[in-house]
Order: sequence, then structure tokens, then C-alpha cells
Amino acid sequence: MRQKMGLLVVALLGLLSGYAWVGGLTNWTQPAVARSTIMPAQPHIAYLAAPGAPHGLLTEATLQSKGVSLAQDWKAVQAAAAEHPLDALLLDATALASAGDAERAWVQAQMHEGLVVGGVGVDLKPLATLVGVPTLRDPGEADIPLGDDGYFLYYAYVVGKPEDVQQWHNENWLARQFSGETGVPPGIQGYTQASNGSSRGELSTEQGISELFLDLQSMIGSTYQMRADYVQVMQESAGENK
Amino acid sequence: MQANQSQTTKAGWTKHLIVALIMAMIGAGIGIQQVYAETKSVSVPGAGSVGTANTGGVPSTNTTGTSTSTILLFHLRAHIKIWHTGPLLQKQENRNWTNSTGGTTPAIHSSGSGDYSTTFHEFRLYSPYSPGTTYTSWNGAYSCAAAWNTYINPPC
Repeated sequence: MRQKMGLLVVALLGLLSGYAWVGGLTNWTQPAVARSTIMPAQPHIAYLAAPGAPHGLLTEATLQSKGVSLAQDWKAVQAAAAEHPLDALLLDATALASAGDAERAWVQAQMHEGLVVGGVGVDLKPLATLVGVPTLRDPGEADIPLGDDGYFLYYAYVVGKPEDVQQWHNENWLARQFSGETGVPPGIQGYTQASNGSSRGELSTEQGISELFLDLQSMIGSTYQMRADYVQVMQESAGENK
Repeated sequence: MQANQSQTTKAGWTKHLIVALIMAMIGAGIGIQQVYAETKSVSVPGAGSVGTANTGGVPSTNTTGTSTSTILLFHLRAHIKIWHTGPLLQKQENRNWTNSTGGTTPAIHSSGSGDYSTTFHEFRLYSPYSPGTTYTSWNGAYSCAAAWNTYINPPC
């Protein structure tokens, strides 16, 4: 009887390790995909929206011609991000409305890794909730809606030692600076770079479409550059300590 | 025959003149663009003059904010905004560096009429010290808190 139980345990362990070996492990742990310091020629941009609903000149054909992958639900976006780091996520009002707590937490965790988030034809309030800030409107700005053809991009990214990065995230320091506060979070010990940026525009002209993709390139490029800067500073620091 | 020759010479000179004029205008354009940048020296409590603040470039193409120091500082910040009439904040980039000599924000641009870029700069020597702060703008005319906080017309 004891021998049979032992065999069963061994068989189960073998089965589990075999499952993990062929890729099942990723389903259990969903590890963070390591991000590079070199921006790829074609950044990974996903567009999560109701199918067949253009915004100005931003159509599915335009998006596909720019290398943007189209997704119709959050699971598809998350699966794509697990396979290859997502650089930017654009979404429309329908997708924004479908985001629950789990999706918001996922987006914010991705932003901590450098994700740029963009709303197309959305209200700024729910977009602010998605990216985890009280507001996306500057205190000196009039309350001008984006409109159906408008877009708004936002990113907030910090590089540094994990404990210093956490200090920046605590109490939303970057968002507070957007709202007019000065200073830095207490307790920062080492080198950090902390950055946030926003951009809004119209998609009703070819120039507007071109601006959207220029802005995306710039913001995505900025996060890659920050990672590269951090690696360089750490290497220089290690060289000095030798 | 002579009249024809004279006409040809005249046409040649006219061509040269037009080319020279166009080149002069391009040169003037480049010159104007080069002038469109503002740099200020920044002092911080406890250390005196430590670095420079700058807004460079032109809003319609590319504009950046820079905060750099000659010594290692606890905190530097460059926060550049492009304001559009409305008031509407068209674009902004806010970059902080700690335990660093600082750097430059990513470039932003906006093609709207009357759009301008202004940068707010913070320089801090140590954590508890009050910062040295200043404003710079792409053409020097919008370097004040009012222009950074919202769209203004006329300038500062």
C-alpha cells in the first residue's frame, strides 16, 4: 500500500514537472516579461476597442498599417503582453467602460514597467481612474472634452532601486507634480529618473494621425532611454567602486 | 545680337540674385531658430550657482526643457508644457533626476497657432533644503509662473 502511494506521488510530481516544462508554468506564475533598454523598430502597440468604430481618420486599416495589433477584449491584450512586452495600449470608451478592478490593477502594474496608455474618444475622468491618478487635467486648463475624434496619451515611469521606485509610487508623487506640487518623495537614497508626460490631439486630419504616432514613439522611446540611462549609471557606479 | 547677349546676362544676374535672396532668407530662418532658446544660471540655497536651466527648440517642431548641474545634486527637475489657447495643455513632459547632474526632457511639439513652451525648473542640493527654481521659455517671453500655470496672451 505504502509503495503504491509512493508511486502515485512520484507520478503526480512527474506529471506536474512535465506540464511546467512544456510551458504550463507561465499559466501559474505569469512572470513579468523583462524589458529591453533598446527600443524595437516596431514597438508593441495594442488597440482595444469595439470593432468597426473609427475615430476621425483612425480606422482599423490605418492602425494595422502602423503595425498596431487589434484586440477585442482584455484577455487578448493580457495574453499578448505576456508573450511580448506591451509598449502602449490604446483603448476606446467601450473598452474603458469594461475595465474592472482587476484590469485597472493590471494596467497600473504594466505602467510601472513602462506602458504608455492612450484613450481615443474617451472621457478623461475614467481614463484617469484607469491609470490611477486623481485627474488628467492641469489645474490651469479649461474643462474641454476630448470629443469622439480626440486622443489623450499618458505615461508615468520611474527607474531606480526598487525601494526608491516605490517611494515615487507611494502617494502618487508624479501625479502630484502634474497638479502643481514641488519636491520629491522623502527617503530617496540613490539615483532615480522619474517621468510623466501627456499629450492630446485630434484624429480628424492626416496630420493628427501622424502626431498620434509621433507622440507614441516619443513616449515609448523615452521609457527605453530611461532604462538605458539607469543601466549606464549603475555600470559607471560599479566601475568606480572596483 | 548684342541685345540678346545683354538679355542673357541680365537673366543670369537675376537668377543669381533670386538664389542669393532665397539663401539669405533660409540663413535668417536658421538664425532666428537658433535665437529661440533661453538659458539661465540657477543658484541653490547652500551652494550658490550650480547649473543651468534651458528651454530649447521651437514648439512647432521640437522643444525641450533642460536642468543640468556642475555638481551632483539631490534633485533636479525640468517640467516643460506647451500651452494652447482655451486654455488647453497640449503636451507636457515632466522629468526628475535624483542624485544626479540632471538632463533633458523628451522633445514635444505642437502646431497650433500661438502655442508656446515654458519649462519649470527645480534644483535641490540636499533633501531638506529649499530648492532653487526658475522658469525658461522657447523665446524668453513666457518665462514666468503665470505662463507655465495656464495659457496667457500677451506674454509675461
